[in-house]
Amino acid sequence: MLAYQLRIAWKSLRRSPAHTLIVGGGIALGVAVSTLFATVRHSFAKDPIPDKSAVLYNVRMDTWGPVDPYPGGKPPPQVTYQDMVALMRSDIPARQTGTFKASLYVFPDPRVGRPRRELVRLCFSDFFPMFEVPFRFGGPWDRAADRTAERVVVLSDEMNERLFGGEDSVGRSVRIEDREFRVVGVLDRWRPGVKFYDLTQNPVDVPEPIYMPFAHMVAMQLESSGNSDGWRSPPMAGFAGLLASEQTWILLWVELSSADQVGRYRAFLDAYALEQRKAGRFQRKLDNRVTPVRDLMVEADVMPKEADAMVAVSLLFLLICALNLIGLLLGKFLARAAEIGVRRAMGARRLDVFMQHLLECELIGLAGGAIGLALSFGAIAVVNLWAKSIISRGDFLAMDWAMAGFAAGAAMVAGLVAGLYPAWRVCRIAPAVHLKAQ
Amino acid sequence: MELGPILRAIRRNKARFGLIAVEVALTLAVVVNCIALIADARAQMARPSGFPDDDLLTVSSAPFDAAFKEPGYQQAALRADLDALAALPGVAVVTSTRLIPWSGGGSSGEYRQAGAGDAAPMLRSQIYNADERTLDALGVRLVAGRTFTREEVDRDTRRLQEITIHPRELGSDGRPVDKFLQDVVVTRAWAEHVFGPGPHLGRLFQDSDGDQYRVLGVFDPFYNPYGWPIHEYAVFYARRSSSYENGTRYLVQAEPGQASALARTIEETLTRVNRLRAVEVSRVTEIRYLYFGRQRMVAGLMGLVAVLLVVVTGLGLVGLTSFLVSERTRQIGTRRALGASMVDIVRYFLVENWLLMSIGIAMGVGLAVALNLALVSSIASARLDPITVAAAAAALWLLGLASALVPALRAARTSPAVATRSV
Amino acid sequence: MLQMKNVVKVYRTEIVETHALSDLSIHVRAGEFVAVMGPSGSGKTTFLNVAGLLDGFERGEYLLDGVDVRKLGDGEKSRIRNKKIGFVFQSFNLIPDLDVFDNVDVPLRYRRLPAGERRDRIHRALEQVGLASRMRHYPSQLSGGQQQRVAIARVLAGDPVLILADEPTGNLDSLMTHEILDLLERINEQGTAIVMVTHSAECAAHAHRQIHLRDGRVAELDEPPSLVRGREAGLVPGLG
Repeated sequence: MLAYQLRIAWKSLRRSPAHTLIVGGGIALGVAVSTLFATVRHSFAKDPIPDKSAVLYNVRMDTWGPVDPYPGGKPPPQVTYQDMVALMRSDIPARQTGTFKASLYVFPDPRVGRPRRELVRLCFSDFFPMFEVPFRFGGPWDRAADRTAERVVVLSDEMNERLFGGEDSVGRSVRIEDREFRVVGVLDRWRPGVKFYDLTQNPVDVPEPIYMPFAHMVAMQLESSGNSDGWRSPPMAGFAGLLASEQTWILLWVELSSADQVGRYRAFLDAYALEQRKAGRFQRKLDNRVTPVRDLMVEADVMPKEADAMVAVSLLFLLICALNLIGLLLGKFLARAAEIGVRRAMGARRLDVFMQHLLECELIGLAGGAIGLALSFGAIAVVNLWAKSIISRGDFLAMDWAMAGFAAGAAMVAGLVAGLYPAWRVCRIAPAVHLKAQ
Repeated sequence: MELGPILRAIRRNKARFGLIAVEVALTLAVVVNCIALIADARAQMARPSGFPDDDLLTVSSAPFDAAFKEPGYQQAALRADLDALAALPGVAVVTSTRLIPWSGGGSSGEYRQAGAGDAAPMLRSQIYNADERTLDALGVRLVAGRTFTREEVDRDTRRLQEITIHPRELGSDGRPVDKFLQDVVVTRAWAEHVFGPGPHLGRLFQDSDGDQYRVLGVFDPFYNPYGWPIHEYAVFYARRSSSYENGTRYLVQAEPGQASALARTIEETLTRVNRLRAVEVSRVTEIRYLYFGRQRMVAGLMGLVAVLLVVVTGLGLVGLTSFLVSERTRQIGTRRALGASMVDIVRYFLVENWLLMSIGIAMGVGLAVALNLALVSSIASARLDPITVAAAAAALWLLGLASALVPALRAARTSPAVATRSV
Repeated sequence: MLQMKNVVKVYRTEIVETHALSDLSIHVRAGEFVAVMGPSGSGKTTFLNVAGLLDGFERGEYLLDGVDVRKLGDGEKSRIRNKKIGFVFQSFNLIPDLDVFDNVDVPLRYRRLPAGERRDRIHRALEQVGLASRMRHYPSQLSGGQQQRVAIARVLAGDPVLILADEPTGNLDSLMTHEILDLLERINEQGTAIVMVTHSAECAAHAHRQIHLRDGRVAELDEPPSLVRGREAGLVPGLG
């Protein structure tokens, strides 16, 4: 029966190609616009590291001054150097890393280019397996290299392209500031949509091009080029003062693979904070945060507030497109009143007529949805191009299966909204009235 | 004319006619809120920074040679840069400062009114160094007092250098024992935030160490986006920026119209002066343009949706109205037979359409307000403005009229003989 | 009252040209009740369309109440239809979305009468046809006979000089047929001319005289009625 009805629906659509085209086009337009906006929102809100977002936690502690809270009432987003050092002594997390970024001079081979300031991310070796950073050549440095401040670096694919023409540069050396570093690994193309491990400045920025063991911070007296917040002057002048100060400028991440581990780590943090309080620090109410990736993204307002509003608007647009098609469908269906009368006289039930016509609408919906999906690909490409001048990357918006599913759903709903009333009207036609119309 | 019967006939066919009203209502509600979002984005883009953005350029000089580690070299390099820049034709004022309009970065500090106890709230402010030329280069508009003199800048710069070399003695409370007093220039928004309404000249405030600051000058407006919501609050210290070690920044105010030509000249000139560093020049207008990328995108996308919506609804109204007219051919013929002229028929359908549009627009206004309330709960500044609503309603009325015209004219051409045709 | 002389009406399609009326001459005097009869295809409906100014004609002359209709524009024709003519249709042609009151009101609105006068006329007309109690009912709630009576009330409210009825009892059963025909007779006794197109000799008997149409013109009156009936059976070559 379904196959029969499908065949009839298909034949009906073919009989009036112009009409079918317009209705399908209307749905396509609505689907394209709403899918585009849904993709924009999705690109901000989706899980950046689905395999591990449940086990990666960001650590914050309220080390702020006793008088006023950190603006916003929450603990500062980063930790102090002394706290990072102390906390990383814990053996509870499977993996952990403190990290910050610095702006350093890179000196390529003079034949290749002039010296340029580049962003360098300083981190521990656990950073790479923790965040599933993919390697093309070589691999990360090991924990021993962290301890000895070995002069090694990892390059991104683009930096490797720029410095070494994209070849396997493992073992080659590159001068950064006033010392030489040996390349131990080159990354594969790694472009998380949202830079979830560092949401402090520009969450949609691309990852840094160079990675270096954290220990070099002390040796080279490197200062963060990210955010740095403090509530009192350092206890002494110079770099030593910075290291001993209450300046928060390091992001601390831990990997905890079970609820039990999380509980133990929280207890560890609280114990540490209470102990530090005896030394005169941690004067505020205890507020240690161990926040998983997605919660942190929400707290940091990664998604611009306009995104939700725009999705709502686009869904209303889809609804209006579908409503506008009702008139067209009514016209087409009711013009066929004679044929319907005959079918009814031959025994078709109201439900049959209703389902027949609804099916026809859903078919158009499907076709319109497919075209709409194709259109949205184009729209996404255009918006990416437009955004490139603003956020320096042309790949932020990406179509994935979730969004393709959204498009399909939107098309089906649109077909339903457009077709429900016309199908109901046409099934209510009594056979007699129209047989008389000869 | 025939309002009563037309309304009664509409009531008998609530579903079909309701469709038109609902479409119009939804379209009005969505278009009006799109416009609210666009207006909000454009309002943000129209904020003045308080500086003559068109004439400003920011220059970054980042050294990579070891020579720059030596303070004497740094001073000389700085002097050479400033002299070279000042000598360029088309340059009005040059200064060394880390303030980059529209970049959202920098340092901040916390202050409270002098004499207020420890429990009084601290108010956060952006803080910048300014020498005797900086505020002129920025083109700020003083509303009270004055900017720094060279002597004041030299004096305060020396004091800071002293502190770096000989750290201050700390008391038992962890704060410096000797407090100092410093003259600063502040923004009016900041002064009113700390002291309440003016006058503010000569008033004192202090930081968490107890050092005091006296208001020497006040300027307005000022808007520099910052990580925290303190965009309009700034305090300027009298201090000459001299550290070159991690790079330095200059702000150049160009003569009107000279900024874009200067952009190239500056880079060439400075590279000639010293090759051991990388020079980057940007016009503040470019920085501002990048800063508002998101707003431009919102405005563009919402504008696109609004336009598409109007087109789609216009076409849909034509289709639906045509259908509803074609369904009543027999009735039209009968009316003609009973004595309706062609004008009477056109008028009937236009009046019917006008009634439906009015119902739809009335519903639409209510829907627009409801939608806007939801919108404002997350974007407070996207409030509806009655003039926009009225204009959109008028536009939709016209759109409805236009879309009903063709079907109405076609209806009028129905032959009266239709009435006698057998069913 | 109604004077047609040598009227010719032609329907043109791409292939065929049909003379629906060829050289039709009819004279109906004021106050007469005339039945126009003929087999299907004889041009009855076309005659009615032309008589009621619903359609034009190619050649000939038509004077309605002394006015030469050839010179009239659409607006003037509409006014004459509104003021001087009343139509009764075979399928009643009531407007389904309007109740009885509003249906009778329709032609009065086009006359731009004030609300009070319209109300009076409508009430009187509905009383005349015996449907005053059904003023707020809708056509779908009325029987065929009642609907036709509303249509007649619609005619009466306008107080025309000529009523054109197109098979007014064609869709009614015999009981209602008698009601309607009696009503028409009564209206005619008060002075309104009636031209009724019908194929039923029974209905035609209510009229003062009968005119027979054949092939778009008046058939000779001395042809015996039986022969006419025989022609009705389809033996006459006529319009397809």
